[in-house]
Amino acid sequence: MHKILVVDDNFENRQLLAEILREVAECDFAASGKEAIDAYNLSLQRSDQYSLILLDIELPEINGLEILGKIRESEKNAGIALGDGIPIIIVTAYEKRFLEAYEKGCDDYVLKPIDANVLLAKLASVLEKSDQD
Amino acid sequence: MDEPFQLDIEQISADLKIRSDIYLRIVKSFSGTLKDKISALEEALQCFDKETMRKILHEIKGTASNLRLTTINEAENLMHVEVKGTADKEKLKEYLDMLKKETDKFSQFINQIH
Repeated sequence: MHKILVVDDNFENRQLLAEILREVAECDFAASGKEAIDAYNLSLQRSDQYSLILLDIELPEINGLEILGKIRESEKNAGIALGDGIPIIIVTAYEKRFLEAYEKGCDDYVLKPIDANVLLAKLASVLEKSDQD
Repeated sequence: MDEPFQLDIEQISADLKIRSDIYLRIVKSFSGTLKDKISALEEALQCFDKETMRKILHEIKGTASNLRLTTINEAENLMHVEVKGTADKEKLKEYLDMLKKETDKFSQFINQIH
């Protein structure tokens, strides 16, 4: 079973995403940008690291795009090539923002309102690609 | 928006690929937090704090749309568009009243479900 970090400041959205993913993944949660970075850094010290991060853009303190940038920067500093780092799927209500997210190194995006079929298909595709690498 | 609140719990939970009892639990939770968000919106409108209103409305939009709460989403969207646009205070008050009315209908619906 995959382990996924769900980053969303809204409790109900986190619960909904975890339920949709229940059959394919065990979820940890972060409700802010700071919590997300802390959870990601802690996971690097564990044997069961996250398979993927599902990242909302609009977050308190540090927004999702800044988190994405920080994670890719730390991977770059650790010698991990772009595309070989942790898969990150951006979740956004604003279609225009995914272009910015791609530039910062996200692997895919899903739009709100969440379509469960689309989310599960994109998740499977990104995880499959990550497993092959 | 004068119709009674309706929610096809079985259909929506099937679409979301989750159990209907879990969907209902999440919707009930949102019903509670929505009341707090409406109170926060009222405070922000009194101070005419557009950025706070925009953030709260964005939060409502994200969850209401994910949970397919159409009438809440529609009422939120009217106010959201006004906040991001000309932000006329009287219009915002009118739209907030509409959102409160839909929120009350939603709460009554949820309270009737055991």
